[in-house]
Amino acid sequence: MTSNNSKNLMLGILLALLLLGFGLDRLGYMQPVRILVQSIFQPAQSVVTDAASQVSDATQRAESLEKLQSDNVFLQAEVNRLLVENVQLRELERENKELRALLNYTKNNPDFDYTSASVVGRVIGADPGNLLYTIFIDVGVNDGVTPGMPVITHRGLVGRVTQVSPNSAQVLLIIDPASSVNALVQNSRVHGIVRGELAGGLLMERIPQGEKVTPGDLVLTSGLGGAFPNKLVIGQITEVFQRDLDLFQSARIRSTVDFGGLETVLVLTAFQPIDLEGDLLKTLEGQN
Amino acid sequence: MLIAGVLQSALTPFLSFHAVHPDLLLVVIVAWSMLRDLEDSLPLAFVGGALLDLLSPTPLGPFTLSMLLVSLVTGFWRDKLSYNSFLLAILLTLPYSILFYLIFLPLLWATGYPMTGLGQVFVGIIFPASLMNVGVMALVYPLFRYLDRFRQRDELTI
Repeated sequence: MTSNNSKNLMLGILLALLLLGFGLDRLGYMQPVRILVQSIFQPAQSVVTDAASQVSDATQRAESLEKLQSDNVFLQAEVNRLLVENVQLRELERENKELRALLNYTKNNPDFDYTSASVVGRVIGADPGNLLYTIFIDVGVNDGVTPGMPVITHRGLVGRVTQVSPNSAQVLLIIDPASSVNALVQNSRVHGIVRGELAGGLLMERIPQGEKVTPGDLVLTSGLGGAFPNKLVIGQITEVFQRDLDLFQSARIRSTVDFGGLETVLVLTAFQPIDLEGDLLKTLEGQN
Repeated sequence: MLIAGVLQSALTPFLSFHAVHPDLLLVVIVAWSMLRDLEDSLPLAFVGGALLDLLSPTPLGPFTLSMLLVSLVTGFWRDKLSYNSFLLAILLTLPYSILFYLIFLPLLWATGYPMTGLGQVFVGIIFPASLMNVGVMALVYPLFRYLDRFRQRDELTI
């Protein structure tokens, strides 16, 4: 067999394997392999992340601008904290008014208690690609984490769990192009869908024409669809795109979460996301 | 390859500059494809790409196929260019990295990912990441060339 034939044969075999793998993946049979790879990687990722954290900390300590940097970080955190607090207070004020009007607020609209049900997950890795945005955290099935659970930080919504192995989980960040979150603008209560972009930004789409949306408005999860609880902070509108020709407006959003500096996150284990697609399929199967 | 995969995944948050990081696995595969025959480099590209696919939310395919094609192109030019030139090998990492993304993006789109802000993606992510890859290649290529020569010497001795 000539060298060229051997190369062609190898390429053919690899492409056939790839096609087979793609097919099996689409049918869901590759899930155990993904979980296995994730399980194998988790301890190594933890070790490397620990080592890199220590090196990173040591380097930062040596920097002469450390004081300025920490002040800056503190002030930024303070701004974000106040922003979130402001949002929560406004939401509480609004809620208080509504509840007073209804006079039976203890029965209606129980607050979603997320802090007591959270699992703290340390970020142990990120998506190896530059155009996809996921993280790996060191909590999994053994900690009560299941796919679909929302992930947050004290600054706001981070994403949702997409895959779990016994001791780790993969989280799809809201800035990933595959992510979409039902959201509302806090002031105007206008609904839309917040999607991630390839460049790592956030875009709120499907904002009806005629609705007033302005830069500076805060965007929260609406809870529609049941994938996320409501009132979680997503970010702040920085730019509005409105053209009379379009059916909808859109707006660019600056997230309150610093996705580049994620270290610890909370998984809302008490929240059970609703799988509308799955439920619909089950209903259809039942009818048939 | 596994080590490179772990490093790329775990070190990404630390190696990122303005949310962009080098593609360690891609650099390893390109370097290997420059030095070895396709019989050696294609399986490596397959394993590396599949690893990235399995660690990503994408279906199995986009990373694997992109890696295979980049390895194939690198290997094709291996016969025509002299990768023995250290500078040439390093500089070629830039077009090979851009090629990787040019193959990867349509595949990503084909698997259902929306393509928005492509200009910003190219200027803000693809080009800086490719430049970073050139920097990483300057470290990886001499090491791989040394390992390759060491291996060849061993084979000759035997």
